[in-house]
Amino acid sequence: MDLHYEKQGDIQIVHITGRIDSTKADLPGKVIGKTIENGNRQLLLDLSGVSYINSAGLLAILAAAKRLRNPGDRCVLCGLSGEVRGIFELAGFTKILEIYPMVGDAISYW
Amino acid sequence: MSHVPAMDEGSIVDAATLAKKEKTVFLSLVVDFVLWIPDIIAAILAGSITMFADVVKCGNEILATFFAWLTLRKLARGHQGAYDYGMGKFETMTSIVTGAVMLVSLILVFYTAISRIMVPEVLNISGVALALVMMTIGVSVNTWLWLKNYRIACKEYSPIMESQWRLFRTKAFSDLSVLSALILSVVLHQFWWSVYIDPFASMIIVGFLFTTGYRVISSSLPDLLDKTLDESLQIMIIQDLTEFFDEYEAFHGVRSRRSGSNVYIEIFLEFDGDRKMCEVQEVIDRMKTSLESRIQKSSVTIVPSSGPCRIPGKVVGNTPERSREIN
Repeated sequence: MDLHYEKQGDIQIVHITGRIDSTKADLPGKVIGKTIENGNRQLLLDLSGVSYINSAGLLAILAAAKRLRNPGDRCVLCGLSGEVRGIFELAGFTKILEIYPMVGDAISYW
Repeated sequence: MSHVPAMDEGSIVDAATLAKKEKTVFLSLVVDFVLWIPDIIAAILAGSITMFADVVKCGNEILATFFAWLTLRKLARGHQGAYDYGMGKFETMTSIVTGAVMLVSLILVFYTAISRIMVPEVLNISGVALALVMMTIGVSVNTWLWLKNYRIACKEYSPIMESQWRLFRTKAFSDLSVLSALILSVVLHQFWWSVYIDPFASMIIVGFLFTTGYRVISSSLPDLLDKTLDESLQIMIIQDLTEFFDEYEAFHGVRSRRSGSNVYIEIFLEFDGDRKMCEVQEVIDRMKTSLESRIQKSSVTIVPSSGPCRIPGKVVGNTPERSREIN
């Protein structure tokens, strides 16, 4: 699993690629936590490069979404592939999180 | 006295099933023992290495069945006062013992079969006649017990019943292999190579024992080591967390394990400090009821928490940074 950071104005974009499975499940939680620690309260997670995510990865995103619930905070997802989107829908994430097809779409609706 | 209400409810509901399980396993034990004695006589008279190996294997299986019955008897008589979390681990351990016994039998059967291949012997036809009768009874009874245990296991999952129906399936097929080997040895006795039918048939039993023993151990060992629930159940927990997303302030982790047929889930959540305890309790009750109704035989505990849940060597849920932030 690889991570790449990009800043666009107040928006902190985290591009995640690879599989988020049991061996790397802690990493997104730590990275997201660190990003929030650094004062980035507007987070865009680009999952276009993620081929699989397991329950531990989902819980890390859920925990991050919960931490960004104050006024002005945002936690947005984008770039979900077919399989990953299916997992997110099954877990009910599509009902609680803002999800856009591409990074551009997410930023234009920000 | 149990401190977990759900456990008491579960015990009341399970009483009839438990008694039925105990009765079924006891019946298996009696049938096994009754059939074992003439089996020993037939094996000695026939001089068949497959029969001999089958006798040793049956002896081990009787021991495993006795152990399973003993556990169920303990459960049925009620020792819940001393075991607040039930006797799930005993059930799992019984399964592991059953699997281990199968693997020990495998080594024994393999060794005896190789010895007979190295030094082939002709079977005693008069002894084989008794063996044929015994094996025919064995195939019939074990098939009946296999199907009976399978139906109970399908109705309600339990490691004991799961290992029992697999055990009787193995026994039915291994008896059939012995029966076939004996018939072929008699029918084809005029051919020089017929002496190898008996030891080679033992290899079929080796295969059955390996497959079943491995399956039973590999499915029970993770539960004994408190492995977290599989992904399908984890997703069900997440579904509940998303359903109640607006009811809690922060998610600090989840941990789960299986104990026998019971499932234990602990969810660590932070609630709004301004809310009344009764309001928080109402949310907890709703979450607990929702998840317990969806995951069979589960006991869900929602722990109001202000920090990450910790397990040895790992921080579950929120990050160490979050922990420092709270402190």
